[in-house]
Amino acid sequence: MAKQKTRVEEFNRDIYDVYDHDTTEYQMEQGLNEEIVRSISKEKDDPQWMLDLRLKGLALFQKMPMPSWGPWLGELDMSKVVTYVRPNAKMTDDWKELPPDIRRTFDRLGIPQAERTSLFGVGAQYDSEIVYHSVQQEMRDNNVVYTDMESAMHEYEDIVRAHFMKLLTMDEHIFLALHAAVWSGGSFVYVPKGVKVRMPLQSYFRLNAPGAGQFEHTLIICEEGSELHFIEGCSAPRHNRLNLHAGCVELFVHEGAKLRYSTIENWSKNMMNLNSKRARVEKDGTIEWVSGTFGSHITMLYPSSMLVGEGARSEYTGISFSGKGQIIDTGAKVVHAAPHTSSTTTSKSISRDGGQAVFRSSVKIAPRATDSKCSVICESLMMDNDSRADTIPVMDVRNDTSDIGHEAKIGRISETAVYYLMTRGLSEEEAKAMIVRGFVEPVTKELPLEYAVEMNRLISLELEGTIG
Amino acid sequence: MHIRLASLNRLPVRTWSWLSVNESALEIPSLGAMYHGDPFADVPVGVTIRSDVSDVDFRSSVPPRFHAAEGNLHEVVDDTARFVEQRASYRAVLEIGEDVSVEAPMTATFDLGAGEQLFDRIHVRALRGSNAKIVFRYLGGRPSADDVVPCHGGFVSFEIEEGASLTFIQIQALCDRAVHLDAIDAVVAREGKFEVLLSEIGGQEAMASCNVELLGKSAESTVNGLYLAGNDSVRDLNYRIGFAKPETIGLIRVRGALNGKARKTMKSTIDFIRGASKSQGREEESVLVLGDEVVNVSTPLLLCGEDDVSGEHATSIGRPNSEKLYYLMSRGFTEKQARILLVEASMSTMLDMIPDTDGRARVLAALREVVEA
Repeated sequence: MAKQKTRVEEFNRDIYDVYDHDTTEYQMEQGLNEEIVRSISKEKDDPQWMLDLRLKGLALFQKMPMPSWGPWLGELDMSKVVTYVRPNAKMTDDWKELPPDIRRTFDRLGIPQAERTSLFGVGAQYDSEIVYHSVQQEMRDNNVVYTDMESAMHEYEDIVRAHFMKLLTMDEHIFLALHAAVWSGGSFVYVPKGVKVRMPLQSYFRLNAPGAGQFEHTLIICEEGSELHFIEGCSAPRHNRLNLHAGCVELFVHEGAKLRYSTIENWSKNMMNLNSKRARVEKDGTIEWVSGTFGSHITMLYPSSMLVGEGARSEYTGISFSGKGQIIDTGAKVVHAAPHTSSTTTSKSISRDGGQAVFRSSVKIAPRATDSKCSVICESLMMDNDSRADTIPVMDVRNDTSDIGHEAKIGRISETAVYYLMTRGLSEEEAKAMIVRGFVEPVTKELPLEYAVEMNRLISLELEGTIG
Repeated sequence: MHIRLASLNRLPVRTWSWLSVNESALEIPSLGAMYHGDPFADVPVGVTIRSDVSDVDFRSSVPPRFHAAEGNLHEVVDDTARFVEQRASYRAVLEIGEDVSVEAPMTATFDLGAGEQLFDRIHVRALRGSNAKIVFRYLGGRPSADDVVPCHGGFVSFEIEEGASLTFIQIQALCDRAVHLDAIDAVVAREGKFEVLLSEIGGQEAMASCNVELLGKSAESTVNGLYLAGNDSVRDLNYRIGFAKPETIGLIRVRGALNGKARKTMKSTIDFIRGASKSQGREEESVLVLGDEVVNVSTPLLLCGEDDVSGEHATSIGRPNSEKLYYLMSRGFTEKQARILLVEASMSTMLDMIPDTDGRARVLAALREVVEA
């Protein structure tokens, strides 16, 4: 009798795949040129310095090469991408004021419900614009700023100008140059000295228009001794044309501050998700990245942490799930640039049905980063041999007082573990489900309960048969 | 006039360019006199050596790569092999006869004179059921009176036939200004075994690769790497085991110590190809860093296109354990002696593989020199 393979079913994408038809008020023509960039700038009422930055980004984009490493990106034709789509909604702090289609979409995604129960503030972006933004009174009382990026550019211009694309500079790679040229939307958060925000803030990014790009910019500044948990969610309905996401996240964590940045990314499988994220962490500060990557056709995403102050710390905990037609190339970068810094990178991946999971990382320990510690752990679970799981770490150590450890494991569900659990009374399916949930648990336990449930639902495993 | 080779020791899968690990470059001094010597002292019964390599079509026995993951894969065997094929001044085919079991290790010594260059192209065929141990020693080579530095470029390929077992030990102990460029490439058939020890203890710049393809069911290979580097020397090493058939077993095990302003890049790859079910692969690197100006880069790749395998990697980079040092010093050892003992202990498995006392002594002397620098 032929053996059946362990199967991991596609999760139900119904709530994500609903396409809203008449929600676009205006969109730019396809492609990218100076006229389009100037038009976006005009839409945003940019100050001159921002227009200059956009034009510089465009010039760089036009001469920079595509990456010579990683997944093949030849399918991406920038002449077919619409870089700006304005929905037929004005930004509001009342869900009822949104057009019914857009409101229903966010209702289905559970954003208003989450806002009521477990968040201190919500920003919701639809295509290229933030359509909803609201913060609770306690945040205002503590002088915490949480607003859309365009408002921040005008209301907090000095702060934004001093930080915008200073951590991730536009000359690093072509998609940052593109981002500089056409960014639109995103969130700005400023947490004053000593303020500890008790409940998370969330920004949700929804890309509805076919063939469009989303280029939101997120800028968070946590002043000395402050604390914040920021959650980012993303989704899109499936189209038969490629969509592009090239966002940019810059995080400034000052002395003794702590920032947790959680992402649950569930783009549709026609999405090129080429996002860039970086944190700069000062003395005794902490950045924690929690990342769940489920959707997209191709993802290239490697949050990076620059540990520039003594005792700075970073933690990266990530899970990726790649199915048919997906290449999920994720990981983390850490630069230890000061003494007594520490970093932990833990990555888990599951690949199935021809999906390709790549864990890519770099750790750099500078000569002055004495007595630093670094641990990188990567585990990959393959559900069939149509899939791939590759691990590509690099460690560059330049002093003699630091300790670095790296471990990686690749394989399928352990038959011994299944057998053990079955001797304890579980069925084979229950045993496998338990093993897989245990495999992803280090990530889900880092999320608030509601989001852990969401992540578990996304993983939604249906296991049957025997180990093949 | 120098020859610059710009694309050596290529990583099987590219990563970020700014890390400078995708490929390495080397300048070959081109002015030296060629080495001429007869490296094999004794040839045991059942082994033949001939200098005509024209019938060796090694490339045809290596199947095309099976990766499906990315469009920008490198070939592992790269410019080193091509460069040496063109320039070889010493060529030999060494054949161990069918079912021949050679008790004593067979040793070849290449002892370079002042400013000499050696480019050797050697093919080793271990026929079905044979069993042997081969030692290659690359020694000597001081700069010439007009300051031409010695240089070695080698390409040694192996065919391990069904059920054959071959152990290959290479001791590269050239003078500290020499340039060393080396490629080892092996294919192992069903139930064949290939164990390698590559000790890179000499040379200003040593750039070496070892690529093993396990092409038969239950084939096995262990690639041991031992490197030592002090002053401003460079070690750039690229090891890979490809698992192409079921129930194959492979281990890459590397130990090293670095001091002074030494720079080391270690690339190692465990590569499971679809169809290699029930295979097991492991790579491990342990590095002792003894100087605060050392540059130590490790790139351990684990590539997997088959689900029914077990693949693991572990790297540890750090200074000698302070508790162990303290214990040894409390027993009367000086700090230097204690450090030497700890480094020796970390490399003892590999030191034990070296069959001759001269070889072991050379490695131990180099080890002490690096620790005491």
